[in-house]
Amino acid sequence: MRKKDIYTILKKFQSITPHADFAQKLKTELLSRQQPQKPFVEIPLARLMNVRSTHAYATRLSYAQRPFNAFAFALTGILIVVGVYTITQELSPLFLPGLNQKRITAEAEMVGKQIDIQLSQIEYFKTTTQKSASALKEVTEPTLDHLNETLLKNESQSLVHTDSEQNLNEQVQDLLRAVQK
Amino acid sequence: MPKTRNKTPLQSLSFSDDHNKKAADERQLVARSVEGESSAFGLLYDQYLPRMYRFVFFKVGHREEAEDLTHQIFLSAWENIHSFQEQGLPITSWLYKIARNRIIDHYRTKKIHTPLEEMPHEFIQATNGLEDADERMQAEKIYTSLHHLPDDQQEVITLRFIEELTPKETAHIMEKSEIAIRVLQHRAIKHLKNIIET
Repeated sequence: MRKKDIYTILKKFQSITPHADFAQKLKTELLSRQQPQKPFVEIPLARLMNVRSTHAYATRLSYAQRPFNAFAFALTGILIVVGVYTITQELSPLFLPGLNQKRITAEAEMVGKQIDIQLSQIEYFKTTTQKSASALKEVTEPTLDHLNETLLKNESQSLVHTDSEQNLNEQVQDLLRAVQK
Repeated sequence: MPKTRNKTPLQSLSFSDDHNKKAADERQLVARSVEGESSAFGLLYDQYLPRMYRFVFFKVGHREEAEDLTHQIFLSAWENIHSFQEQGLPITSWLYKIARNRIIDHYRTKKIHTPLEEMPHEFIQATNGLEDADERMQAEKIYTSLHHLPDDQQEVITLRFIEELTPKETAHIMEKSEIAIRVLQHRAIKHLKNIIET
């Protein structure tokens, strides 16, 4: 058998068709069925896109429209987040008193002031402790503090020399010399 | 085998115009079906039912099983038409893919392979147009021999020589390259010829 004959006979097999009854019955059954519904969230979306029927979303949601769908969902998510945040801000004093921003600020300031007071008290106590310690040291140690160089220096710096005092000093010096002679 | 062989340029142009018009009409029908218009899908059904039935029939060899599988194919197509995306190929490729998957599932679940029907009604129907007795015998041999071919060879013969699909469409359905399809069809015809002549 030649290949050409095989091709010819194979083409004739195109006349094999289903029974007419079966064909009609299947067609009737198919066309009486509705297509499965898409998820609920997509039906409002379809209406928003002004489509003719709920099934028309299928056309709109082709691969060319999916970016729009993604954008719509992202926008919805953002709106939900902003809404929750706003509601939280407005209603928080009623349900969560601890979240009142003004009150929290005032409390923080009060705490800060208390800390400052405590710090100044600490500084005061530190200073007085140091002075007390030096005073106790002077009293308890049998040293000639009047010969302490630091002490003499401090005292000399604190002395205020006036003219009258200067004269008086000279007179005292003269007397001492006279006594020594 | 090719559709445009031995045609004049004018005839080729006319054929091309007709082909383009048919393709455009088909795209319109598909678009309307995707939108849920059942009447449009009904027209597609009328157009492709014989092809799907034949494809399945040559696979299973029994009318009842072929009807059952054809029913499943079109039911699946109608329920999933909204997910069809045209990738530069006609809807036939998509339908054939559904058919192949259904046949695979059918053989996976069916444990006993029913033997081929002898001279089914469809075969008698097919050979009614053959006047020569020898030609009828040859047709019977070819029909019987087809079922002795491996699945992929039988499939390529069905798609390329019975349904007259292009190598590109056949390659897409069978998920092979066009070159592989050409090689496969050459081997299939050669194998078929050998079976017939033995």
